[in-house]
Amino acid sequence: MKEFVLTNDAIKMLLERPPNLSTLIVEKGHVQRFAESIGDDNPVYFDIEYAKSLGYKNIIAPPTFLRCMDPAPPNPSELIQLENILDGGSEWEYIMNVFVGDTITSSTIIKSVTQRNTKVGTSVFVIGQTSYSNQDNVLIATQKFTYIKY
Amino acid sequence: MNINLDDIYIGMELPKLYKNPSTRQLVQYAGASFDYYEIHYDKDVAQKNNLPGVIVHGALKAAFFGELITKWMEPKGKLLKLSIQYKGMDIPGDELIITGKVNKIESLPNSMIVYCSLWVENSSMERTTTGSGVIELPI
Repeated sequence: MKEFVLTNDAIKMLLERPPNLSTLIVEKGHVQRFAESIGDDNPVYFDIEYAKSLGYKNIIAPPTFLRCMDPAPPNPSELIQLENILDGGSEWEYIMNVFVGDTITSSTIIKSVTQRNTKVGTSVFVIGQTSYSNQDNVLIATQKFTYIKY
Repeated sequence: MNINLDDIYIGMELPKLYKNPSTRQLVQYAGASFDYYEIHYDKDVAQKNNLPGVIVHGALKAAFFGELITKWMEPKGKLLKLSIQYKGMDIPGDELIITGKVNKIESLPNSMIVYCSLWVENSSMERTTTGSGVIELPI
């Protein structure tokens, strides 16, 4: 069991941190390597003519492709004592597809920080949200995520 | 597959995906997703973290859900929501069955909204990951 107490000051600092920003230009080869790494052979990720036959302007990216932006969980100094981290899950909402050639900007904020006692000792549940916009400044997707630090 | 609206009913199962992620695939996914956390490819680091060995990325299992649902709904469907909860860890070399079930159907004037539950089952029949998906299909 680790001696760890999450203070109100630490919670306030985490919640008031400025958004973490990141930018990605979506390259065809990257989308294809991502689809291959899943083992997803859907031609909509590989063949522009096929993608166009479905009404898309270009090759699209798989639904969780945006995970490659800012993939490291937030590891704020306030929680550095807790060395281990687990991914608890994600909730995605999709507004528009990601196309090859897009420039995507992501913005991540921490929405809640809660200390709980679990079977592995003191754990802190960090819930955050990433918003993704494209080059036209249009919100295309959001991902709410949970990490457990212990 | 070309989904036929008349064939969709509450309780129907989505066509299963069978996955058998190797450590090699975890390295591939790490490279493609930029998730270089060592517990997914370095046994020593994994064991230092009190794990039996390297474990499958949760996000790779989330990607399997994405593949399952997009293959089923294409070419007309639009994925609106996808959620994933990790319940247990999976190790490379174990066969994972990815599947889902239709739970609810809503009819709108020009489309149908289909709600599915999703899960990953390992070879010990444990559901190590659960989730849900919402898709819209034009009528």
